[in-house]
Amino acid sequence: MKYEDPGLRDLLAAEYVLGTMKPLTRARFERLMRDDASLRRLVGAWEDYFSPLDTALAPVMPPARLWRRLSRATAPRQSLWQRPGPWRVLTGLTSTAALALLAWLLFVPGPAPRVVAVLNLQGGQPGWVALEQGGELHLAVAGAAAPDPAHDYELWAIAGGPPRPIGVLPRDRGLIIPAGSLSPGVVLAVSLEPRGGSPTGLPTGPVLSQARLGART
Amino acid sequence: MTDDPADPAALSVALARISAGDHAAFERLYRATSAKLFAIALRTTGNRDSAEEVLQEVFTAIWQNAARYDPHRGAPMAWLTTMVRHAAIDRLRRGAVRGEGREAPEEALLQLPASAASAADRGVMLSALNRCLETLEAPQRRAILLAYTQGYTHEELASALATPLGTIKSWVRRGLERLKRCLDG
Repeated sequence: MKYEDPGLRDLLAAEYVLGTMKPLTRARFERLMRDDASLRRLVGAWEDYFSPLDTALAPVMPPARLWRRLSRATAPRQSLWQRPGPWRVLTGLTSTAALALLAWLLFVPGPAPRVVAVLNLQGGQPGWVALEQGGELHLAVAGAAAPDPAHDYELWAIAGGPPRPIGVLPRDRGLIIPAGSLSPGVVLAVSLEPRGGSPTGLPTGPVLSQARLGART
Repeated sequence: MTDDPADPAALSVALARISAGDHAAFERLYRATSAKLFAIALRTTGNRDSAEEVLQEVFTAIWQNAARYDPHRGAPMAWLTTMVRHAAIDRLRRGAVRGEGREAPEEALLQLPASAASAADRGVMLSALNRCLETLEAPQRRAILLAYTQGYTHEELASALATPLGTIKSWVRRGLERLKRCLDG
């Protein structure tokens, strides 16, 4: 597609804002937007054009439980490991998830691991936790359910360009990522792929979770 | 104006602080924007439970990706609105049932000059959008309003307006082009 054509760029921006793009097209367009400030401005202009339709809308208070849930799911995690009783971090997880993490922590010798990313699932509960220890990164399973037999989870790193495959997550344990292969600021994403991993080298299934590495540790 | 937590500058500051992990700023942003965003999610999904899940998803994403907001792109509220509308549309695409008894999309236009704050500005913008939508043929206008306010896909528009998919796509495209010419003119 010729993304240099001004008419086409504007039309794509308009369809993006209108919401009629198919999800895959929209994801591709969002990747283009990331490196293209003028495309972001076109989108901003279309958002402004349509905004009177939203400003006119009467606000509706969401139920109070929504903030309680969000607050629990997003409460700062940086200090948890330093608090008396480092196991505090486990209280936010489901009991199975907590057990899985606990098991992993107990059997890994050396300095205490540091949480460098929490990959939440759709409902806001943690699916995976990335822990850094001695330069090595471990992606531990937190609340994510095992994939069905026809599928695997695959981990990706996104740093501006297309997602880079890191590895298919083992079905029965976390994934160890060698030191130095990921830098802080990179976005980790987990997608659902056919058994054995994406056949194309790019995510083919839904992205279940993503988080920026080291954003808040 | 600067004391208003929903002021664009205040929201930009909140987003910048959130990207640095400031949870209090996250709460400020939530308090300032959630009622408006909930109304938008509700308009699209027509269902309180779905709208609540949409907000949960979007605010979780904001906490994780606030750094992705580009202040040069436009007002923070516009960025948040697009995130909410897209998340709501995705839910509908994944098979969430649309709420029943939705109002006609043209109703959105009638509700327009409701708020007191900077009513003059809004009135001007509103009338510009309204005036330009008026230049579209009725089915084109309806298709664009249904897509914007209720998240209709091309396929849903084709079925709701009993019109072939290809025609719908060109209506939307031509409608948007015409809208742009009118709004810029």
